Amino acid sequence: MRNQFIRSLIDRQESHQDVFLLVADLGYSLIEPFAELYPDRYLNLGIAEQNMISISAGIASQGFKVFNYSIANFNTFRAAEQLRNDVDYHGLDVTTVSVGGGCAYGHLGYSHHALQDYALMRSLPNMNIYAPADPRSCNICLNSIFDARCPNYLRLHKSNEPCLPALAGTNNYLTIYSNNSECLHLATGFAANYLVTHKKVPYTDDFILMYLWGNQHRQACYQLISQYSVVHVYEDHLLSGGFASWVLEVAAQNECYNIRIKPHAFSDHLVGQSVTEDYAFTHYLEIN
Amino acid sequence: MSRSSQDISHFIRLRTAALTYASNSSHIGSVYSCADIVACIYHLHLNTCTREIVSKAPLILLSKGHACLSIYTALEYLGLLENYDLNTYGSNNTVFMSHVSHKVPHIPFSTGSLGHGLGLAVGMSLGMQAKGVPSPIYVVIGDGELQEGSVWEALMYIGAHNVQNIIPIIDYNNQQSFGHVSSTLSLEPILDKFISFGLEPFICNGHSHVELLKALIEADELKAAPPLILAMTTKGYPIDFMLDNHEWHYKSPNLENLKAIEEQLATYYYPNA
Repeated sequence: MRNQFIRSLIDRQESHQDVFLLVADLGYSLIEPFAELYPDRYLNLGIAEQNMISISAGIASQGFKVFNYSIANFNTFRAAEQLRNDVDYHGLDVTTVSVGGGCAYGHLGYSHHALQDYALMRSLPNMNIYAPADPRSCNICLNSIFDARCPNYLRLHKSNEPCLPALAGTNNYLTIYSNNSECLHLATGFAANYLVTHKKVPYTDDFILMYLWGNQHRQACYQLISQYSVVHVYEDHLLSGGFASWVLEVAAQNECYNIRIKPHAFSDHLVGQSVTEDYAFTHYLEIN
Repeated sequence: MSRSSQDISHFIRLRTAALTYASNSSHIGSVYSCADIVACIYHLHLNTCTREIVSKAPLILLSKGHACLSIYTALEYLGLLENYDLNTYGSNNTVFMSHVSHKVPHIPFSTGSLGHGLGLAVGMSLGMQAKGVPSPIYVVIGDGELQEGSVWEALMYIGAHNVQNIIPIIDYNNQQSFGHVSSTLSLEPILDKFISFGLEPFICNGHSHVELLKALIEADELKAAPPLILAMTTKGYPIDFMLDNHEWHYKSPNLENLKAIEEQLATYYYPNA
């Protein structure tokens, strides 16, 4: 996903000349191709995430598409107020790109586990949440981001994710399996990739990756889930404030009392554990 | 109509007193502290013949957003709030909220939480340079605000990269919420700090228009290093019962206060009348 991100960014800059890439001293051995091709549009701001987000907003106010990149908690929680006040409130074209979604950084520990980032970012009223599961869906996310001028959060995993056998898509989701089932398995982010790779979803059900969601997309979610009687929701994030909570809110707002919604989020017991990502999925995400 | 910097600051203070009285709102002392700074910035951008704004309002980021009436009233005085009614200040659903708002024309960013203005200005400057249309960006910052780490993140970047076109102006009134900055969390030696960050500070009396205008012009012309203006001010200036009194961060004037303010402003601005 990371490599797809930087390739897409280079393509965009080449064709439109409207990109700025900002990093807070992270992205080593990833961002160099962009930095070498476009040194005037690349800034390493040092280890200062609050400043990076305010600067992102300032550059975007001059008409540019700004991408800031860091490890998930650093350019979200560390700079939460700058995202809220400077970027989201002003509706600016800033995409906050985080790497290491969920438990991708495994043994690096809690400081590097992105377990609450959805909760923060989806509380911002103008923020689109993009959570791809593989390089192909990452490319779809970026094309969507390139086409609009608004605040976005792009949550990446790391690298070497296998491509999903996606069939068809809408503006918000990709269908991975479709069997006209009454039961939907709805995932966001890398959790979808884990479920496919480890064959955790019955092939007889429907399986969808929702790669774009947030406050602006409640109606799309409602239209999707209202077609089913059972919806299993998956994410590599804690339950509080995450994707499953968002789906439950959408269902409650629309009085969908006839749909059984089952959340599958990381247990709070994952907090502070030094585990591989695979171990986190097998021991802290109730799937069945 | 004559529009000297003194006229602008007089209007800012008079109108702020009336509006804070009418809306029962706070921060009059903060407005009076930076009224001369704001007035001088606008004055510099007036056409010297017609006394109107040259082409567009100067870019002012009021990082101490609670002093919003200094900007709103100056814009009103200069006729830049066409179709907007500042008398709605403090009422429900007004665009004139009590921290400076980008919903008001000619205001680039809303602020209110301290420590945001300089980082935003750096971004604006970089974006303008990329477009090839640089323009001065004035950032009015409170001295208590300098306790925010984000200010120093931005200053470090400005100094290290000699970011051009940003003119930070510190409203150095030694006041914050509970009393004096010097006894809450001292900033001294503040000049040494700015210099060590690669900035070239200009010190001036923040209520002397001669000194302020000179500092603003020299700061704009400086290219060798990024400038910073340390404007020595007094909260509540020039009203005797508000001077250096942090209570006027919170209080709104009653009718008796309002009359006293108007009388003192008349004496201050027209001593020979």
